[in-house]
Amino acid sequence: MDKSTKLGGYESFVIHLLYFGSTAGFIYPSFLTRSTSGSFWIPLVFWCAAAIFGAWLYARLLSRLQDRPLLTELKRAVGPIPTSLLCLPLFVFLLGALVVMLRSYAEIISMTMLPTTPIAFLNGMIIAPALLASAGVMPIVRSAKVFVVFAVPLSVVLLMLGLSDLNWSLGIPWVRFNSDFISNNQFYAGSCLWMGFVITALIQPYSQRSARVACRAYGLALLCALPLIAGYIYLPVLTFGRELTSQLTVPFVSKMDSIYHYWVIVDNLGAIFVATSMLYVLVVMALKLHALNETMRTFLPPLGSKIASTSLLLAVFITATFIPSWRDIELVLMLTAGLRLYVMFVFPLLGMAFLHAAGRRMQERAA
Amino acid sequence: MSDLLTFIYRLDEEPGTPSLYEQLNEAFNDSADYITEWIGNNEETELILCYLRSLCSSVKLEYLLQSNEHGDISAKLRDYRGNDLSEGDFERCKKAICQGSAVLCKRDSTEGIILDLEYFHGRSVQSPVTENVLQGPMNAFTENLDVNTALIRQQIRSSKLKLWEYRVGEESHTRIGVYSYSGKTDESMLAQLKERIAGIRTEGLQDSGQLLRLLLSRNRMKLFPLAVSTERPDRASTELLAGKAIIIVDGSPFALSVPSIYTDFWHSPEDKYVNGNVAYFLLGLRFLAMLVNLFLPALYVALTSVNVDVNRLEISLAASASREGVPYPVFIETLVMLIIIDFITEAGLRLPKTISSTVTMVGGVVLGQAIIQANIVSHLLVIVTAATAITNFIVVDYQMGLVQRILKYFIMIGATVAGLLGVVFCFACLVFYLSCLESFGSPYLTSLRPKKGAS
Amino acid sequence: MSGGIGRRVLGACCVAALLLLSGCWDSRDVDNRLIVGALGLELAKDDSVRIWVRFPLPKATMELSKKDFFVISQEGFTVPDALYKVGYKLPKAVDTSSTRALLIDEKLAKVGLTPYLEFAMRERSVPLDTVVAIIRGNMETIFSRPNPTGELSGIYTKLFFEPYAGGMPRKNKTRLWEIYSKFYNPFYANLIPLLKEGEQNSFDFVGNAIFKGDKIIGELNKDESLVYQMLTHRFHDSEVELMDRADVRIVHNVCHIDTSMEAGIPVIRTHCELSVTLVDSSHRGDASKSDVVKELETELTSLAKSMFGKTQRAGADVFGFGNRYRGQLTPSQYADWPELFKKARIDYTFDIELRNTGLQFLESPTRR
Repeated sequence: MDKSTKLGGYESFVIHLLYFGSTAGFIYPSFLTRSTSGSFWIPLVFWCAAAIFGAWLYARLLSRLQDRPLLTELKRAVGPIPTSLLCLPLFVFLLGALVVMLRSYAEIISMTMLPTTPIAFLNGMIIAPALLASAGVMPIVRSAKVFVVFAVPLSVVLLMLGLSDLNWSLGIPWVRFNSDFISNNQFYAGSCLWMGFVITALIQPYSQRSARVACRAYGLALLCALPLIAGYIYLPVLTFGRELTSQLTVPFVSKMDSIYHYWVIVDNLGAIFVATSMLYVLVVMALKLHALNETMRTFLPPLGSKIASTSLLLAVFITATFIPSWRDIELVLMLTAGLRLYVMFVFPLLGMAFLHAAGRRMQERAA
Repeated sequence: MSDLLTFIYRLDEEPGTPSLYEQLNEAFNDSADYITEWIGNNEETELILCYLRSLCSSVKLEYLLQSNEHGDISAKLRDYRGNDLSEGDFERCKKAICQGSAVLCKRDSTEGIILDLEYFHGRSVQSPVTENVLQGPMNAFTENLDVNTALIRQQIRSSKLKLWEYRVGEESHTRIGVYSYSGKTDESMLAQLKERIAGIRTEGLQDSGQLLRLLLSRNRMKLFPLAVSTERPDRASTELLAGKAIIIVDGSPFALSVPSIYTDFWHSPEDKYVNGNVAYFLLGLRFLAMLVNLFLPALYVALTSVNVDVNRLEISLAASASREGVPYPVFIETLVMLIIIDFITEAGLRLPKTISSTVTMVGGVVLGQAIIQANIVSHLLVIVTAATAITNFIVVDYQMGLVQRILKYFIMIGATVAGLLGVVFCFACLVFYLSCLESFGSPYLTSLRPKKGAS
Repeated sequence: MSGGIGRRVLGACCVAALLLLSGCWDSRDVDNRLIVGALGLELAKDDSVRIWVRFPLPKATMELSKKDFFVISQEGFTVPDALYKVGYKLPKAVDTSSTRALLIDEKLAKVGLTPYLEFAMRERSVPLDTVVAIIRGNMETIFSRPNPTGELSGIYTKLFFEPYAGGMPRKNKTRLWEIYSKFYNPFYANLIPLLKEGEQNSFDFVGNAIFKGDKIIGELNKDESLVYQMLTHRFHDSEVELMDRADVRIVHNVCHIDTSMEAGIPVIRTHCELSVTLVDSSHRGDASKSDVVKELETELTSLAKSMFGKTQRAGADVFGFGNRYRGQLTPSQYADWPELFKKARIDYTFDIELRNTGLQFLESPTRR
């Protein structure tokens, strides 16, 4: 197992791109279209700005690390108990995100391609990411680089095919700022899409330079993924109209199903979309599992952490299997919105405060 | 040239202990090709030459033993021109005789002089058997390590080409050579390689493929080949200049090139000699052939049993028509056809050239046509199987092709259970597995873009 | 090594057990499915629906004298119910995932389409790009009659509408998802092609049916459909317009639509620029270029007037003009659009250019 864990700019970019692709097509569009009756791009831009701000905060936090991983440094600075209290919401958030991703994707497979296959069997797809996560970060990164070569062109092709049958007048009003989304909890539930930088912050040591590179990679990936995200939202709206789109569970799959061209060799593009998304979802799940394992390894002894990883996997699987319905998945996302906001904004500030205080204490002790 | 006479004078005798001559006779007791010859007298003792007739060169021996009947050894031996002489006790002399040297000893001495008279029996330098190209050098490695060294040195005439030799195998004492080009090869990888070679414990070593397995025996068996094996000196020298180490085993014409990453297995030796664009096109074609080989049977199973809605209506009707009357489910008939094709491939490997064309006809025409008419498989499946079989042989590396033959069964099982998603999941698992593999320190899926500094 | 082999055998056994346990839930071979080519819906007694299903048969099963399709019908409370019940009569599973055409009886359309079509959006059985048409006539005859042009039955209906294969823009190819999205969109009403059983062929194109909500309320004839096509930018190919004195082919069409709101009344101005070429000049009388152009303009204006008259009277905005008013209306006013459309003022102008008169001049040489 390769022990070196230096993610360069391109690797971070690839990971963030895959992260966007994995979440943007499924739950996010239905949240966004139901959260506002004004223009859709406004909440999108809002969250983009928030995400960039959050990434910048994390970059500031990570630049203080001096080539050590985040949690190890925090533990060194303030001791294990305060760090574990600080990280508990982070842990719960990661767990919830993993369960939701697994279950929602299995549910979509069940709705579209394999209706009678049991959910427990579909949830078993987490075994492959779990084995990959136990191998380290670099195998995940290498797989991500291979998948980008296959999955991103396919997604681009699907989006371009989706440009057929568009009626641009259905997108009117283009500029209507209706602030009703701010009080809508579905708007906050949609924050699940923008958490990529939290996960990459946990998996490797950082220094000032690499934190800056990572932040820039995130910004670039956000920029490149924006057409993708906008496409997943706007293409169904411009085809079906906003009223029908807000009623659909997964609007983009229905949009893909409605495409027909004589020369397309495949009749049912929705199936191709779901199959391509599997590549995204598997790598991102491996990444999240690895982040969880790293978190636990910081606080537990080596043998304990192996047992803990296995039990974590089982816990994720069982939870994902026993969520009763799609509405409950959405409920979980809405309830954990508060956790996500904490992790995005409050955690880096607290972390920076702690590190700053610890640094000053050490200086006083030295002087 | 050292003075043979002084060596002879230095041979001492120890009374009481059995002499070298007697010990050697006992060791080679039942070997019919063990010859001991009296070659002359030196003052009062007899000089005896002991050797294995099958290993020694008669030419060199005759030169040595141009005799005048009177046994005046001093004059004869003064004329000896040969390799370095060395002395040795019983163990060394025994090993030396097994290596093809002759031992010259006095009747009662405990030590002997070792003369290297080895003559290698094997093929001459011929054209490669497994790696044919239309443009490029046409010589290939042989089973003799020294000839192979010569072939490599003819490609790289530089003092930076370094060679280390080892002997591996407790009974076979096979020589292996490790070549590297100093300045380009990673020193730590080389050190690790030498350490691993020194740690090999085995009885016999016949081929470089076996050596590869022994080098990796610490870990679990890996599915994918971790070193490229090549028969061509030009390819070996290209790899050397690219920073890899070459291992050649005496007795095997295949050289191993370590470390090897995944994309190395797809480069044909010809790629550097033809037009660059053509080389990229062919590379892309090979990758496409690999994907077709792995996924076509699985896609057939997925698209005709689980995900029928992905097809066009016309294709579904054609598939349905072709399967009319076939009693087995799609998975079973695909499995049957793939196994039959593997039978035919295996049979084709071992047949003598004269009847292999008969087998082709039997396999292809009779079996393929008759099996459709007997309603055991559908015609669409025969097309799929034929395409799979053909693309299997587009793979450049033989070991990689063998691996693919196994993998396609697993991917087909995935397709049966979960259709198109099963295929994608198996593909993902394959990529995950490849990304965890490491070949002698380099990750298997290294980036295609050359990194600055690192290999 | 023995430990390693033992572990490998165990692994292989687990894989085999997985296969046995799995049962391959969704695996059903393609020759065990009857693939639906066309689906027909009509009203049956007691508020239930009768479906007609036409399965194309693969070539291997049909003999020389038999047809290459198979028709069956079934009654049920809803469409999925009927599709499920038809399985009682069939040896293979019914697979609706490649359905090409959905034919709906006119009487069913008068009652309301939403309850019968809802299943298609919710469950991915009938695909969303299925072509929909309203049938006036006897559903049974249409389904049971073999197709005289020899096309693989079942896909014939889709080819009837395809622009590359015999379909014309006036036939107004409408897909299931369009219909469904317009049910939800208050600014857009459905216009679905209307077919009746033909004497020489399977269908005959009658016109387009105007819908308000999900009920049929009127009909546009074939000529009015031309103006509709021009206005909604669905005009792909050229069309031959027949007039008293000459036949022209419209080769290019650009339509500008301008919408505004004046004193609570929507004002819509449409301006169409057409390029035409002369195909056939009548042998009756002498025609000049300006005559031809003027004749065409009059014809188009009268067609547009009758078309707008029909749709406005019913309050059915089949053109989608209302979508442009989304910015000017608040979401609570969206549902009022049909009423607004009734009161709307629509101005239409045509600008026609006779690009050439074909390979022969219109006037004789001496007259110039």
